[in-house]
Amino acid sequence: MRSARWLPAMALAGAIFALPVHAEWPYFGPSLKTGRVALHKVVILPAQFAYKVIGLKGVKGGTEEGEQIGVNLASAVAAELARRGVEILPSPRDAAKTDSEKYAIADLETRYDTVGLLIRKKPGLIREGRLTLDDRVAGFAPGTGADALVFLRGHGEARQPIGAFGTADLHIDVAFVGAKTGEVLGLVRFGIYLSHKEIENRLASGFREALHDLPLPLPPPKH
Amino acid sequence: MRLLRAAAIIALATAAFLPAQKKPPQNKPPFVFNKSDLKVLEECAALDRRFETRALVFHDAAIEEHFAELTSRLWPAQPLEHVAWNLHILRNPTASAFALPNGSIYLDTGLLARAENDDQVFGTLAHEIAHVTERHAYLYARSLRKSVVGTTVFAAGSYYFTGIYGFFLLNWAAGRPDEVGLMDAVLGYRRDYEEQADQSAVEQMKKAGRDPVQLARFSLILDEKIEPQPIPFLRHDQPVLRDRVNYLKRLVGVQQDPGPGEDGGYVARVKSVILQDIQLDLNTRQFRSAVAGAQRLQSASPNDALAIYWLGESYRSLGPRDVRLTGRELKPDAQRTEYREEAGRSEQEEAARLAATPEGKAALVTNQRMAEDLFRQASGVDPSLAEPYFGLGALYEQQGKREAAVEAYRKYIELCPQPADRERAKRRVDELTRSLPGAAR
Repeated sequence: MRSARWLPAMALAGAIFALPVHAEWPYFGPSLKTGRVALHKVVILPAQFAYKVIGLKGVKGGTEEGEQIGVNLASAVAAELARRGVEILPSPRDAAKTDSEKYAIADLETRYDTVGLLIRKKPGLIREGRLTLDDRVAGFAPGTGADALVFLRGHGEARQPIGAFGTADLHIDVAFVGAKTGEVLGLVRFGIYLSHKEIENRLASGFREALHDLPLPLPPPKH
Repeated sequence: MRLLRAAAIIALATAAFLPAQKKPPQNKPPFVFNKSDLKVLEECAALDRRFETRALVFHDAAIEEHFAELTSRLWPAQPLEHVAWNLHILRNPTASAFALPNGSIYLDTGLLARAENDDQVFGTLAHEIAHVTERHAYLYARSLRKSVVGTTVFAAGSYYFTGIYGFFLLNWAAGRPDEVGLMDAVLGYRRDYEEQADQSAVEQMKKAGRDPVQLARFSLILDEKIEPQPIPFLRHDQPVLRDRVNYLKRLVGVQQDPGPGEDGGYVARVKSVILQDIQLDLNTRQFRSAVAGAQRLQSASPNDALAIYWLGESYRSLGPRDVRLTGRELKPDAQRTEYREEAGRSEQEEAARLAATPEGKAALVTNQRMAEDLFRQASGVDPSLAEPYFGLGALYEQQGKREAAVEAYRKYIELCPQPADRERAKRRVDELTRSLPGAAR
C-alpha cells in the first residue's frame, strides 16, 4: 500500500529527470525589427558565467568549471551566428596587449552590468528601444567596424552526484548592443533545466532555437 | 515512535547547526588541512586567475613598489602552510578589502581612493593578514558545512515524514552557502573573527611605528555613506561600522572621533588609482563618489589639467543630484529604497525624473556651471588636452546649445589622438548639424 501511494510522485519525478527542459525568451528592439541596424559583423565579448557545484555538504566549488562553460558558450554563439552569415570579428581579449586595452574590455563589461541590472528586471524595455549603454561604447577600439557587441552572461548550478539523481540548470543571456550607439538591440534569454548530461550539446541546440527569430543575414535553416 | 524519531532527528540537526567554536581557543593546535580545505584552496587559485584574466587587477609599477615597501615589515616571518603572500589592487569602486585564505590580499580602488594616508592602508592590510594567519576562511567554511549537514539531516527527516517537500528543502539548503564560504572572506566574517583581526592589526601598527588611531579614523571614513546602497555595507553578524569605530576607539584608547590624518603625500602617490576609481564610479552610476574622489585629487594637485577635467566630468555626470545624500536619504531604509528605485530606471530616465523636481533643477544648474568652469580651467592649464572639449560638447548638448556643442566637438576632433573616440565625436557632430536650423533636409 505504502509503495502504491508513492508511485505517482515517483513516476512524475522520473519523467522530469528523463526530460530535460529548455526554454527561450527573445526580446528584440525596434532598430533590429525595422532593419535600421543589421547584424553583419559582431564582436563577441568574453562570456561571464557563474557556476556552482553543489554536493550534500554544500557548495563544492565551480569557478573553474564556470570559466570552461563560458568558453563553450562563446564558441556555441559564435558558431551559430557564423552559420547564419554573421562575420565574427577577432576576440578583444586575444587582441588586447596593454593594460589599458585589457581595462577597456573590463570597463565595457562593467558598463553592461550596470545597465544589466535593469535588463534583468525589465527586459521588456528592450522591445521599446529604451535601454542604452550610451555612445561611449563607440570608443571601444576592437568594436570599430562592428555592427554590434555581443555580451554573454550566465549562471548555473550542478547538483551532485551527477548521474541518475544529479542535475544541472543553466540560465543564459545573450545581449546584442549597437557598437556605435550603445542601444540594447536585442536579448535572447534561455535556460536549460534539469539536464544531467551533455550540457555542451544542449547549449548548441538551445542557441539554434533561441536565435531562430533573430534577424540575421541568412534566414534560419528549415528543419 | 514516529514522534520520537522526529525529535531525535531535530535534536541532531540543531546540534549540527551550532557553530563549531564560538571563541578561538587561546593555545591553538597547529591547523590541519582536510580534503575540503584543499578544495577551498583550489577555488582561491581559480578566483585569482579569474580576477587577472578579466582585467580586474590594476597594475602600476610605482604603486606596487610603494606597497611592497609598506608591507615588507607586515608579512609574517614564519612561512605558513599553503599561503603565498600577494597584494593586489582590484579595479572595483566599492570601498572594501578582502583576503583569500591562500594569501592573496585584494584592496579595492574604491578603498584606496577613500584612504587618507599610508597608516590607514597599513592597518587595513594588517587586518586582512590576520584573517589569513588565523585561518578564518577555513574555519568559517567548516562551520558552514556543518550547518549544511545539519540542514540535510533535517531535510532527510522531513522527506521521511512529508515526502517530496523534503527533497526540495534539501536541495535548497545544500545550495545556500555561496562559493564554498569564500563570499564570507569578501563580505566580512563573524564578529569575533573581525575583532580578532582588528586586535592583531592594532598590535602590528604599534610594532611598526604606525599610528593605530588611523585604523579607527578609517572605519569612520568608511562609515560615511556617499551613495544609496542595496544592502548594509557589511554582513549583519559583523559589528556594524559605527560599532566597529567605537570598538576600535576603545582599543586604541581615544575618546573622541579621530580627525583627518596627515596625508604625507598619499594622494599624489595613488593618483593613478584614484583616476581609475573615478572612471569606475562614473561607469557604475556612483556619481557622488566620483565627485568626492576628483575633489581630493584636484585639491592635492590644483594645477593638474587631468584632475580638473575629471572633476568637471564628475559634476556634469552628477547632473540633477546633490553632491551629498540628504538627511532623509541617509537613513538605511531610505538608502535601500533609493537604490531599488534607481536600479529600476535607466540612467537617462532617472536624470529626467530628478531634473523635473525643483531641487533637481537647482542642482542641475549648479553642477553644470561647475562643470563648465572646470572644463574651461582644464583646457586653460593644458590647451593640448582633448577631453575637456568633449566634456564641453556633451554639456552644451545637454543644455540644448547645439552650435556651441558642435564647436567644442570639432575642437576635440582636432586634438584627440584616438581614432575610435574621434569617430564618436564626428557622429555627434553629424547628428547635431542635421538638427541645426537651416540644415539641408
